[in-house]
Amino acid sequence: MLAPKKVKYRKIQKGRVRGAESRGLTLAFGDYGLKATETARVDARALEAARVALTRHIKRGGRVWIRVFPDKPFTKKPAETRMGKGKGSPEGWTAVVRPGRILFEMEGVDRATAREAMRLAAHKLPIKTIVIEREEAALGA
Amino acid sequence: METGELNCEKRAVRPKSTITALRRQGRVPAVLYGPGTQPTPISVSGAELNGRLSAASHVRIVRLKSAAADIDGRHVIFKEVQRAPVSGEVLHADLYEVDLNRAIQVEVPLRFTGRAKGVADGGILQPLVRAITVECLPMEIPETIDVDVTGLGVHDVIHVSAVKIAGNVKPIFDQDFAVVSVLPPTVAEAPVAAAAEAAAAEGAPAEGAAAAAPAAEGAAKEAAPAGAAKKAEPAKK
Repeated sequence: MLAPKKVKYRKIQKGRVRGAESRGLTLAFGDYGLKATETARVDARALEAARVALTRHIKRGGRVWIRVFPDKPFTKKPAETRMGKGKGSPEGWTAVVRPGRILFEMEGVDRATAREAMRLAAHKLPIKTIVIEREEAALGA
Repeated sequence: METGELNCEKRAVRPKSTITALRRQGRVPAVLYGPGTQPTPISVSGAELNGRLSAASHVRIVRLKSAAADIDGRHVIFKEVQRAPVSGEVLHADLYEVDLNRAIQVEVPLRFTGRAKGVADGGILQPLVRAITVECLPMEIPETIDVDVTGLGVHDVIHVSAVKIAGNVKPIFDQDFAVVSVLPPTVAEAPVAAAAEAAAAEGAPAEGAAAAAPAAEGAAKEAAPAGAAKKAEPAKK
């Protein structure tokens, strides 16, 4: 799973995710991409599950890029614990995703395979997404 | 090269609510500028603009038609287009006025033709750039620049200096950067159990990669969630 190597603060506040994305809106590497249309904090486990779904479907050939990085820690209190006594311990990492952000990109596979792989990956994510294509790829060039 | 036509009108800049009202009417705010031209705020029909943009690969030069005499008949290219993050709807366009007798620098998309030798061997064609900057007269802007990749084997690279461009078109570059390459074939993912054994033998692999780093296809990485979960905890201060 993706996780930072080193962080300045182990625990940070949750905050609120507002507005639309202004970066990472267009395809930078591949011909196909999975674009978020909703706001969410996407868990590193979900990203990993989506990546596995993508790479398993394309088997061999093709290349995948992950365009987000889970760098925001989240914490959890142990089960059957009373409230209080401080913040819980770090549990995992999330990526803050706003509408418009490209999550995955893919290249080196045909259109049908790419779309199906993206559909399978989208099922692992907690948000609605759309599949986008480079214009030349859409024309079959 | 053929030219297209685009109807436009001058628009007010203030108050900002006029721009919202324009968009509600299906029009798109734009700005016209160029060397020796004062920036002029204009508006164009959204549907017409979309049509022009979808044809922009083969019709780069657009002639403006307007009731205002000072902008009527000017030749422009689309310098920049702002789009909505999700819907892709055009929010604003920059129209750059060009002198048809003066060379300009524009980006022209590359088209990779042929089937690379390395791809036949199982490799992946990896375009490193999708467009290059060229200098030419506005009416001589090529639609695409063809790059023949037929002889390209695995790990072979074509540099920008080797790209053949027809006509009076000069590529602009400081460094002779790579344009396209063929990556070696990727290895199919091993079954999870086998990968877990491999991971246990080597210890948990290091995690963490740059945001845009290629996703590792290594199955060992995928099969070590337990070890990775421990690594995932931030280091104690």
